[in-house]
Amino acid sequence: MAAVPGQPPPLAEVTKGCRSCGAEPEFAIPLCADCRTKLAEPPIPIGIKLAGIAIALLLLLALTRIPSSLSAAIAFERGERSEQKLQFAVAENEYQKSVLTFPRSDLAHTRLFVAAYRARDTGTARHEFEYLRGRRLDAKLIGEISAILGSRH
Amino acid sequence: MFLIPGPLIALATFPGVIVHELAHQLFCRWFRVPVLEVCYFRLDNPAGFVMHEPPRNSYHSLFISIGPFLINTMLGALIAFPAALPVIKFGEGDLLDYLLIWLGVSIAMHAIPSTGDAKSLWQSVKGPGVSSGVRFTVAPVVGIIYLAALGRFFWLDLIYGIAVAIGLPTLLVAICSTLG
Repeated sequence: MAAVPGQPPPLAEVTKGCRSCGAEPEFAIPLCADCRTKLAEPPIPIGIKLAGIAIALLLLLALTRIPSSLSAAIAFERGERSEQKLQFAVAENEYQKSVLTFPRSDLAHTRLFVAAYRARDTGTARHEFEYLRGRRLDAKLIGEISAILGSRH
Repeated sequence: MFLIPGPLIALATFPGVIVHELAHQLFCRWFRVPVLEVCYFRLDNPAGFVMHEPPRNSYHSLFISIGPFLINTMLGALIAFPAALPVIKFGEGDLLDYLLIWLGVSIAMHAIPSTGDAKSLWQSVKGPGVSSGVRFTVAPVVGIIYLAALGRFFWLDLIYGIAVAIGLPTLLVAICSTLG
């Protein structure tokens, strides 16, 4: 069956292979080279482009924040580990880095206070205690601070 | 089992659906595969789709099918990474952090290919002229996709999204802190 002028030939006719050598057709769907190229690169709607740009901007913002967040979190983790080994001066140093990046973190301030107190760094301990005194801490942190202050001689 | 209609989940996590379909389209573009129709998002099942010509190369078919898994996972992890740490580790998150976490989880939870992706992938290798090596490579992938699709009933997609967006940064910090 011949193709209707101006319209693509029926799919079955195109896909059954070459008439002279019987070779398999190259593509599953009969498309000319131009249409194939156009369909391989379809235009992206403006709304989707804008959504993509918004996501790309947020990704960029996220990428700029990764180094500081990562190093502060690593420092905090190392601080906890040092505290467990009773190396309070090392722990204090690590917690200082976390507090520098996350100055509103009550957890980081509490850990810094505890490490500084146990490392006998009274200046830092007092400074951190003054900060924590005005904060609404959760029961666990309050308990830890109370335990330290309660054991004071 | 706590059931929420699929369209509602899709609506709440629509950026992930868009990125998923864009990833399919991106891989079609890279492999010069004609795209016949694209729906980036709709309130129906499926929430989005890309109709394309069956690729000639089975590996092209593989990458078009699993493309969203690679792109959505990487993008979700990178976007949520710096926000997950202050929120989870330090309890200090602002609005932007929560926005990034929502975006990261939304994108990562739509990383899992659909059964439609698995079906078209299997179609591409089950015909004649495909080497058994390719079939051996693709068959487990198809199996895993079907299993993951089944896991969606048990919120596997959300669990995966949270694991990528929140679990991965926590794990990386734990590993990095032991080094050096």
